[in-house]
Amino acid sequence: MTEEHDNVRVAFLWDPTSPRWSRRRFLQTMGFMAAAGAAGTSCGGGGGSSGSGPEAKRLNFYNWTDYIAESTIPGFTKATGIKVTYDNYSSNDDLFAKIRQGGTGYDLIVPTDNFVVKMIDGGLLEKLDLSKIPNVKNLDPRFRTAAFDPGNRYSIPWQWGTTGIGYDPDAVGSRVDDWTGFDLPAVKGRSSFLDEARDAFGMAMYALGKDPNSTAAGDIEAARKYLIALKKKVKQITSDYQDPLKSGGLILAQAYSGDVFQVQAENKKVQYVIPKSGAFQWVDSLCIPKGAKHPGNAHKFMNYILEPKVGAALTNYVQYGTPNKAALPFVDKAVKDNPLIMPPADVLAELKFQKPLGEAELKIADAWTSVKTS
Amino acid sequence: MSAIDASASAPAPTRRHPATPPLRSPATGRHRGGRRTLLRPRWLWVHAALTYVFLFAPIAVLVVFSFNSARSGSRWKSASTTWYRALWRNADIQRAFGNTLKVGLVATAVATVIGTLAAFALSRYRFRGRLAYSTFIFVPLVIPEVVQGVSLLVFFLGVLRLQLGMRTLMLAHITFSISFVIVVVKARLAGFDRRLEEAAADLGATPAQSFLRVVLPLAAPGIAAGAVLAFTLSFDDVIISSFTAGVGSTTLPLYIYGQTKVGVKPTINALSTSILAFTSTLLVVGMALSRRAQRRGTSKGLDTTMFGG
Amino acid sequence: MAAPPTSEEVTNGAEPPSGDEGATGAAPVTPRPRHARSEGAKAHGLLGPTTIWLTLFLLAPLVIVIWYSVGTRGVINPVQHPGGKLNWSNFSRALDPSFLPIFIRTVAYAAATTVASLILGFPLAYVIARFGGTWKNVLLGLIILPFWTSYLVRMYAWRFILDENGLANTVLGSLGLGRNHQFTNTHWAVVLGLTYGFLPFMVLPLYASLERMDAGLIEAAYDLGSNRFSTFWRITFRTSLPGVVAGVLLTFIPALGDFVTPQLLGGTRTQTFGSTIQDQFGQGQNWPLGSAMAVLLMAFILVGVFVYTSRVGEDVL
Repeated sequence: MTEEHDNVRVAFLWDPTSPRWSRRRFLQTMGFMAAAGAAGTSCGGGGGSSGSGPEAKRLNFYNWTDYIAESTIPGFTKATGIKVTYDNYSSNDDLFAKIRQGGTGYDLIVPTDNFVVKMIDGGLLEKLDLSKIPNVKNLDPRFRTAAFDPGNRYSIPWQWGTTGIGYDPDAVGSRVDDWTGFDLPAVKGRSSFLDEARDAFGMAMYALGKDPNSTAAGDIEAARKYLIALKKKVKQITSDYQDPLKSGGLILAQAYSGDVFQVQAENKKVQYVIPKSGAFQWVDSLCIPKGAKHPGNAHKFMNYILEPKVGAALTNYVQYGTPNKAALPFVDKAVKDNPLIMPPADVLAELKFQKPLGEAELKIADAWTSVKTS
Repeated sequence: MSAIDASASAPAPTRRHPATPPLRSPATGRHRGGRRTLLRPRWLWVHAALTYVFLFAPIAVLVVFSFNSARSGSRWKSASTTWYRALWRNADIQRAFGNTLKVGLVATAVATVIGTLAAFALSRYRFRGRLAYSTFIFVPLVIPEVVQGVSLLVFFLGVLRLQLGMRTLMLAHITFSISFVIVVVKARLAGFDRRLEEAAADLGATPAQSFLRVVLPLAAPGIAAGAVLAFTLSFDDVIISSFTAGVGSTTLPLYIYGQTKVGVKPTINALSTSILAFTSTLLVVGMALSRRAQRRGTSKGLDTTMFGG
Repeated sequence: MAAPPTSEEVTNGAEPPSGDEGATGAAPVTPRPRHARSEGAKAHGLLGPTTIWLTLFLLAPLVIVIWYSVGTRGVINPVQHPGGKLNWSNFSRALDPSFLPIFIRTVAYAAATTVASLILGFPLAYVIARFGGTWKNVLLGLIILPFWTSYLVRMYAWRFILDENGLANTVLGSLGLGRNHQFTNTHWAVVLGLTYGFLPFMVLPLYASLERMDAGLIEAAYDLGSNRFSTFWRITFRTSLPGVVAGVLLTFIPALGDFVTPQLLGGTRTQTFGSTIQDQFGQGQNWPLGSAMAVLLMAFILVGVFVYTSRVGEDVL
């Protein structure tokens, strides 16, 4: 930074009586800041790697916390000699904001399907070279042709699940098999739905018997009214329902399947149900952000996770569904035989993915703001 | 585990009731506990004890649940040290904690130094635009976190082309801490009696000497308070960090908030309890040292060096 | 917008001083106007690092926010300026009357939090500063200690205490006071959570200014026949006034922007302005609106601080 660089800012550092003094002061200040910056760099760690040539044996992996088996990364490092740096984010929105900006330094991310589509549309993902991922054959065919990325051009599925209802039958006083569970008198003021626009609107559309991906103005308006009415009956709009569901603070919640199985480990009474009128399914997928410095290593990791035993270990640990068909023989019986983690084919046929809606998504976003602020 | 005791049952200090020695008045040492003030010490101590109970109520819950075998922060199952063992084995969480400490310490140091300088300028010199400047330092307090986070993200990546990581994290944390330091130090310096400095000068002290020997010690409690606030802010920040952290710089709050897919585990309670135990041990040891120093007649205990008095 | 003019005005500091001396006149008067110029120079020297830092890492990003606030949103690219056109409608949208109840609620939360923190914090700071003796550091440490855990687990712990079948209800129930009190998801729970979170921001500045109070002054006041109340009011409180103002600002302003506490301890009717802004950068997918709301919120508070300080004299600040 030189003096002419920005005279407005530099100007008030000038001492009119002794310009020299203040120039020195200014330089000292800059030196100080540089030192502070350098202190930061020195403990940065795991960051840089050289541009071209053979890739450094590193992989920068960005994923939810603990959304991986304890053995996965050590196993991968042992098999390939590649050192993995594992960082954590807490929402797709945060992930998207960062990836969209580019140059984050990550080689591997795990967005949910609707965000995969947004990232593909935005040109934010590297195209995969499937010849480097021979294990892709192990995927369940329905994940090879899924509408959000047919042919796995950009993504390799990681774990999948459904968005249904978790509830405590004893407290509710009856069995619940549909979204109408929210209307039961015992549930009033003790339930919650997700703080996610598309999940909430999907639920409303299903409950109203409409296409969950509808963008018709009338449907969105009807769903908005449904949610505003529902908001008066529930306790909270939240994605943080696990603990309350365990303790009884909530007795019914719109919930992700894997979450509820983790709740069941503590509170056996809590049940999970895929509502009769329908529900979304979703899948989190491995993707390589544009400009990643270690795409080769990322491909190796994708291939590694698709190995049957590795994929099974992942599912056994995080308790979501595995997209890896070859892994099924190694998946714990409790997980595999649970029709809610691995629903039978006829139930599956009824489940839909969130469709990318393009600009119409903004209409839902606006309606969502209106629900939240009503 | 006396350390945990001290933190879990806040009234520890208040058990020693007003009659005990510590009631020497700090400023002069002559008066024994304002016998005629409006606020009677006895009721003040009761009020203080209740406030400590309020502060430590959730902490007690957290400590208890760190010894719960269940994987839940809301249902008691049985006593166990499972989560301490899990903490011991968990390299991710240890790394996150290390990152949090590094960022917190660097951010606190830098913010405290430059914020203190600014507070001095604002409280002792008058110059045109001082009022505007004093308003300007409130911007970091006013700006919503998500807005600051997003704008820094765009600024770092889009404008400066910096690699996100520990460095950007520190830059961001310093930025939001500076103002807290300035405001607190300024409050301490307000109405500062400059005749003290003049007296020092009359006694032959150079400006540097009078600054180090007179001004700085008087400002010390404000500076320490500002530093502690800065560290606390940095330690718990999640929103701004989530936009400015990069490869290898996941902090503890980011680790914890990232658990949405699997649920927050009591490992965090175990870690929090360990931090509490460690910090309260430090407090107790520091306290003991300073008392011994005082008994020996050395004037500088931790007491006077940290928060002054 | 108060921010950009600020830096300009500061820049002018190099010019001969005049003007706002009156506004800041409450301070000990400098009797040597000849030195005013060098005072300004010294001040800017000391302010230099902060000025550079905040210009670089606060004002520059803030320019981006202002630029966003006149943008048009999109799905992939959250902010666009098609054809360089500025879109001012975000501001009229941000001022939409439908947000008014939320804004009022937010101010009420912040005000209640500030009052509660002052009521809890002042006596605490006072007793530590005046009667803490050798225990001072331990007592202060104990105030900060809870905050070196994690915010989220602290709030979970509060939820455990306050929930329907939580600790508070169990205790009340066993005392025969009924066990079905609704604590969580109320305005009270939100204020409680906020007060809990901001208490140190009140206590520490209060302590820092109370601690330097000379007990001799109180003694003297009594000797001169002053009664308890007026002694407290005229000596103790006035000495601590800078601390009170600092504590109030450090509590009130961040509390206005808080959004996590209402989310965790509140219910469906505790949405705040802060959470609404937060939502615009997430599920609401409207960065320009969120930016416009943030710009308005900042302008609102900064103008408030500016007017307040120019009225009461800036040395209280």
